[in-house]
Amino acid sequence: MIKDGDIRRFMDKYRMAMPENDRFMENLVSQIDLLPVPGKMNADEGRTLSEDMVRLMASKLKKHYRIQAVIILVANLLFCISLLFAISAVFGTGTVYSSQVMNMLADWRYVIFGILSAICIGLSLSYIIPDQA
Amino acid sequence: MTRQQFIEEVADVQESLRRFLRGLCGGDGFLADDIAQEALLKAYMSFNGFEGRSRFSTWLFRIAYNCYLDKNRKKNIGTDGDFEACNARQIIDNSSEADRKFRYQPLYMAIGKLGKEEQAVVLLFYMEDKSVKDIVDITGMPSGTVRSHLSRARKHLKEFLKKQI
Repeated sequence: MIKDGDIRRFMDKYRMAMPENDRFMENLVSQIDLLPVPGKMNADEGRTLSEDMVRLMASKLKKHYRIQAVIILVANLLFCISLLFAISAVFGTGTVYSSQVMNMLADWRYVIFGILSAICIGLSLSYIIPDQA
Repeated sequence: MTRQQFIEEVADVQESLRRFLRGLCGGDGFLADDIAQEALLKAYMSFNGFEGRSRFSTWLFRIAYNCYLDKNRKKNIGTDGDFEACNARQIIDNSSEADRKFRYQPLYMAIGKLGKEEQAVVLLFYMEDKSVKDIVDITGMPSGTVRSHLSRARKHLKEFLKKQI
């Protein structure tokens, strides 16, 4: 009795192979070279998704926002550095204060510094990033 | 997808595609390659229309099958067990092509008596290992029709193979 497997074996036996010295792809590519690149096809082969996203973000920040962003970034950096020095000067290591609050601030000075810096940067970013239309 | 990626994808699929078309064209390699080239150029030019709903290879097969049907309507080509098909190029067919047709003659005889749609379904299912879903996407036939063609073709092939024994 002939089964499905026999049909498959028959088909496998007569599965056509392409001729040797086959120039099909060569001819096809030479024809494609004569045609314009379709619109949907990426013409720039080196472009990646991340590059596209950076371009998109840059286009969203208009020129006057870029200037403000740079000014605020520099101001933030100067503020953070100054704060760090101030904290070191005010709350020197090893100093014991009579007030419990001051002692706690001295112990947690760098954590507080980090939180204040994050708040400053967060407020700055919320100011410079334009509202979505 | 870039142009280079398109060419690489086509290079992966072209052998299977051309084999399918050769089966439909009764072993006429020149005609099959003509149709394949026409189909692939059409695919390239209409790439904007590829929405990615099916696989890229399935899309190419569909275009090729439609090109074959168009050509078939104009010229009435195919495997009706008759290898003297009306095609001028066959007259100047070279000896290696003739050898190849002779080598695969049992296949053409096996599927020659099937209808065009049945031939397509059999070649896609058994020769190119396509699933029923892929065959539906390629041929545009409903799933039930594909299955019934497959069932009829199986019966025919089993009788053919029985006679061979």
